[in-house]
Amino acid sequence: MSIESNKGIARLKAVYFSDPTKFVSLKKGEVLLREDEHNEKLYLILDGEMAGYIKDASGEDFEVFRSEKDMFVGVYSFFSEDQKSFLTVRAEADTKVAYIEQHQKDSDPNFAAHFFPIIVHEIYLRQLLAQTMSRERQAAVKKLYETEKMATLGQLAAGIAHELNNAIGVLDRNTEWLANSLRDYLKSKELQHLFATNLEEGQTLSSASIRKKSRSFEEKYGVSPKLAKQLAKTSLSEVQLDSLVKKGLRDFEIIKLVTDAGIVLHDMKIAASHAAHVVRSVRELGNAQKTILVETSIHQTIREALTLTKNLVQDVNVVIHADTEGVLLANPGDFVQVWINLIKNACESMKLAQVNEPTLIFRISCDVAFYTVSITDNGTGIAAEIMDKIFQPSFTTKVNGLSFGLGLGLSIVKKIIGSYRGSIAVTSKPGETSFLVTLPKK
Amino acid sequence: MEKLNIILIEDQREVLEAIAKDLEPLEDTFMIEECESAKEAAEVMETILTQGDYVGLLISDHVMPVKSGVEFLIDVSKDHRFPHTKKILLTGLATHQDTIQAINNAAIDRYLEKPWKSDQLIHYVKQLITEFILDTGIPYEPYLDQLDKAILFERLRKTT
Repeated sequence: MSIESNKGIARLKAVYFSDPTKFVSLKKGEVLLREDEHNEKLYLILDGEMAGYIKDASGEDFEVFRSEKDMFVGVYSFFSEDQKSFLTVRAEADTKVAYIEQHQKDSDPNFAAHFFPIIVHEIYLRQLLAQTMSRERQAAVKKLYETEKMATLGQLAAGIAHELNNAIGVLDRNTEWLANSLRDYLKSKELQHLFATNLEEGQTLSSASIRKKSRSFEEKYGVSPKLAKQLAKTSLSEVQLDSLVKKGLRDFEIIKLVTDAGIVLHDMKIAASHAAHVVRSVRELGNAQKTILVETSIHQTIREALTLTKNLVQDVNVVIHADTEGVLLANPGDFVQVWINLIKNACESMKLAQVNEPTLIFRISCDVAFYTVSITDNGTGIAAEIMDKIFQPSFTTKVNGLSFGLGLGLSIVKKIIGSYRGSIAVTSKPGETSFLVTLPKK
Repeated sequence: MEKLNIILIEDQREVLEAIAKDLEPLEDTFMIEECESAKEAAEVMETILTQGDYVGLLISDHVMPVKSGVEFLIDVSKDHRFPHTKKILLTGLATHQDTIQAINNAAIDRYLEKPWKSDQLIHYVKQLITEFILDTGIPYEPYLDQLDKAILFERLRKTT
């Protein structure tokens, strides 16, 4: 309240609200005015707090205003013609009020001049409160809408997840069956080894280095560009290739077939696990499925996550410092998913920024009650203006969708860690971004 | 004889491998270059130009880091050194607006949705390479095996 109206109140108090016979004391919860009841008094709060309520359609009390010391209640009924209170006014704390009566208004020629500015101010305050409440309500409705949207998405996803997982399951299992059958079918140790290597690692060379190698093979072996490229795409060493060429490339047909089969089956496994990951991430939003908790090593879940993201981290220097295995009761899949999301974000941002020597450092440590896991990358960092948004669902910097731009990653991470009563924090500057996960040991 | 190149651009290595596998039957006739980014493709195109060879067809993924497929194809369509080069946009994220932008600004010849079918991809590639050869006016005979006969005869009938 302004100094001006403070002075005004002090004056009014002295003139109109100083008669102790017109003081009323109310206990917390006591009602001063009732909705639709007659009121001829104007009250000034000397001490305490009061609030006005109306009943909404469902019969619930709905707060319309709140008044504290030096503010008025009964304004509407006192000044209006029907003199009916349009709401119920209740003491929110032990409150003392002073009042004036209707006849004082009519008999005092200076009344309007004294009260007018103060009452206008009172009305202004109430309007301000109404605005604030309306804004808060809008925000709440928006939040509710967002939450419901995510829940709907989750339910929808849960519905189709079953179907998709069946399809992915068929592809995944059959890929493995085909891989095993093919390996057993291969006669020689060399071919079996070649197949296993390519199945395990896929194509490890970049398209640029394949091009470079194939150019040099064209010269070195005097072969066609097509054949040179095929040679470059194998995992054979130059010594092995030399002897292969020397023998007139007699065995190359089967070597190429085995190599290609290994790489293709590897890529199929990767694609299936990626699809399964997407399904699981979306489903995670809607329903918190409770699974049986088992003794889980955080260190182990990190290693699993790195295996699953192999094709993302293949150009990244990954370091794990583990002071402890970090054993706790958990669903290991939860943590694998947490690390996968963090690894994906780090790798994609380092790739996007074309960081020279992309590096990802994991550190697992502990004290008496907590495990701490930090994941640090040397990408460009997170801009300060988006820092407070990154954990919100549907926030994403991957506006073009990339391979995984649902904007759900970090909100899922936060949700999972929260379900273990842990917390996650982030610090970021160019060249050093760290996510710090803290988990209670028990 | 000059070499006729088909360039594939796809940032995800597994997908790049899969497209290359589909086009393997064409490798006896055309050079197939695999690239993991628009930048790499641009470099390869420079080399091809220096050697006096042709860039007949680009097959590009849409969503890639740094530069998207549509942005890259727009660049190429503005580059007067590649007036007849054909373009296929391969995408898993076909939204209406993207499609319009791609067709209007990048002069895309074909829009192919993921997952694609091998025979359809090869069909488009043959059609577009045939058109490239005829537009450029280089002799088509050496490539005859892999050309789209319907287009070839139609165009030859018109010109003779």
